[in-house]
Amino acid sequence: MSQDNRSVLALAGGVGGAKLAFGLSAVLPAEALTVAVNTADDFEHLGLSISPDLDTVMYTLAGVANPETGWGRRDESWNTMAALEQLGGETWFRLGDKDLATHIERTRRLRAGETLTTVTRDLAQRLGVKCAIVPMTDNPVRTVVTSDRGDLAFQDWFVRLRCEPAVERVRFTGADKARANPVLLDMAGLRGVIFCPSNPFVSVAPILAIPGVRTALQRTTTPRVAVTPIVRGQAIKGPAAKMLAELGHDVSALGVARYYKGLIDGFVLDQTDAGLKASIEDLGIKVLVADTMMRTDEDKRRLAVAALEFVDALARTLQHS
Amino acid sequence: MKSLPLAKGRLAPVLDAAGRRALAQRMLDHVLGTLRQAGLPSIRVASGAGDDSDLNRDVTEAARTVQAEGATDLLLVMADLPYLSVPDIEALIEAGRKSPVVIAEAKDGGTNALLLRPPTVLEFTFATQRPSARLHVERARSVGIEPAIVRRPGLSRDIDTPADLAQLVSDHPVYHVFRHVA
Repeated sequence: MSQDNRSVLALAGGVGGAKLAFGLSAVLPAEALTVAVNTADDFEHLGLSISPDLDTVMYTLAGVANPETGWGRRDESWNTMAALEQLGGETWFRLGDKDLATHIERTRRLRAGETLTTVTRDLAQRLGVKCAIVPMTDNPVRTVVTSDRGDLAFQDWFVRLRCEPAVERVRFTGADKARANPVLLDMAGLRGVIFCPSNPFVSVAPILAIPGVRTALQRTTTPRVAVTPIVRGQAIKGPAAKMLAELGHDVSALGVARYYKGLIDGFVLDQTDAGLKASIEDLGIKVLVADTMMRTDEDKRRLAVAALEFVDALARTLQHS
Repeated sequence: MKSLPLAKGRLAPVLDAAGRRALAQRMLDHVLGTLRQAGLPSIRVASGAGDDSDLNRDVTEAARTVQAEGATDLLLVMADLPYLSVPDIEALIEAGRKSPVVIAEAKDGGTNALLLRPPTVLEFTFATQRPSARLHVERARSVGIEPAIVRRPGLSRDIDTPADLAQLVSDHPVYHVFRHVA
C-alpha cells in the first residue's frame, strides 16, 4: 500500500462492515484508520449495556470473533446461559461467557461516569486492536421498530420475536438530540471516507441521522466511497430483507446507491451485479466493479486495497474537476 | 436421537436451549415421518438421558435391545437430518444387499446413518472431533467386512453450524421460525 499517512474514516455496522474494517486495518498504519460504528442497536439486557455492532467490530479487528457467526467470540463457552436457564432467567439473547465479561466491564465503567468512547477505546486496546474504534455518539440512540404489535426495541423485534411482527416504520430515537463523535463532523484532511458494506437502512442510517453528519458528508471535498452490501441482489437476506421490503426499500445495489446519492463520489459494485453499473453512473456516482465477497482474510485485504485505490483515484479526478 | 451434540453444539451462539430443543424436535419429527413413509416395519427412538448421555453407549444398548427382541437388521439414522427423503432410505437398503454394513457419510466425514446386519455387527465409534465414517469403515474391515459407503445430500446434510441452519431456513418454510438467526 502507498505510504499515505492521512487518515481514513470508515463507517460500519455489524458483520459485513467489520469484515472490511478488518481489511482496512490490515493494510493501513494503525494511526491512519478510524472506524465509526453504529450504536443504535445498543440495548440494556440483564442489567448490562450491550453494544452489538461495536463489539462485532472490536472482536473482528482483534481477531477473536467467532468465524461461524461473524459476531460473538471464538472458542466461547455457554455456562452462564445454561445456568441462567436453570434459574428461569432470560436466555433468548445469547451471551457467551467471555462476551459477558465485555458487557460487565463496559457497564461498570459507564455507570462510573465514563463515556462510551473512552470505554470502547480501552477495551479495544486491551484486546489488541491498534486502530481507533469509536461509537457514532456517546448519547443513547435506539432503533425502534413500529410494528403491528406496537413499538419494539430492535433486539426485541429481531431476536426475541424472531422478526415476526410486520414492520411499519423504523426510527432512531434520541438521534436528533445526540452529539456526533467529532470524527463524523470534520472530514477535512482525511484521505477518504469509506462506507463499509453494512445494512444502509438500519446500520448506516442511524449514523447519518445524527445532526451534522449528513451535512459534513455532503460538504466535504474528501473522496467518499461506499462498498456495496448487496451481492447478487440478495446479500441482505432473511429478516432484514423482509423488513426492508415491508418498508418499501429497493433491496439492490442500485437501491443502496440511490440511498447514498449526494453522500458518495464512488460506489464499489460486486462483479455479479456489473449490469447495474450504467444505472449507478447515471446517478452521478463513479463505479468500481470488483469481487466484494469476503470469505477469507486475504479477500478482506484485497477489497480494502481496491477501495483505497478507488478513493485515491477519485481524489485525483475531484481535484481536476 | 442425537441430543447431546445439539444441546451443547455449535448452535449455542444463535439459539437458546429452548430454541435448540424446538429445532431438534422438528428435525426428529421429519426423520420419523420419513422412516414411516419408507415403510420400515418397526421404528424406535434411542434417546440418551441427561448430561451423561454418550452416543456410542446409547446406540450400543439400542442395538443389543433390538437384537434380543429378534431383529435381524438395524437401520440407525441420526435425528438431525432435515433433508432426509424416502429415496435416501431406499438407497441405504439397496446398498445393504451388497454388504452387511452400510455407512452414510456426513458432509464433514461424520456418520449420519448405519445399516447393520445383524444389529450388533459393528462396534460404534461415533466421535465429535474426528470423522467417524472412516473410523466405522476401519472397524468393519477389522472384522472382515468391506462396508458399503453411501453419500447422498439427504444423508450428508446434518445441522451442525449456524450456517447450516441459515441454509435450512432458506430451503424449508417449516423452519422459518428460526429465520432470525439466518
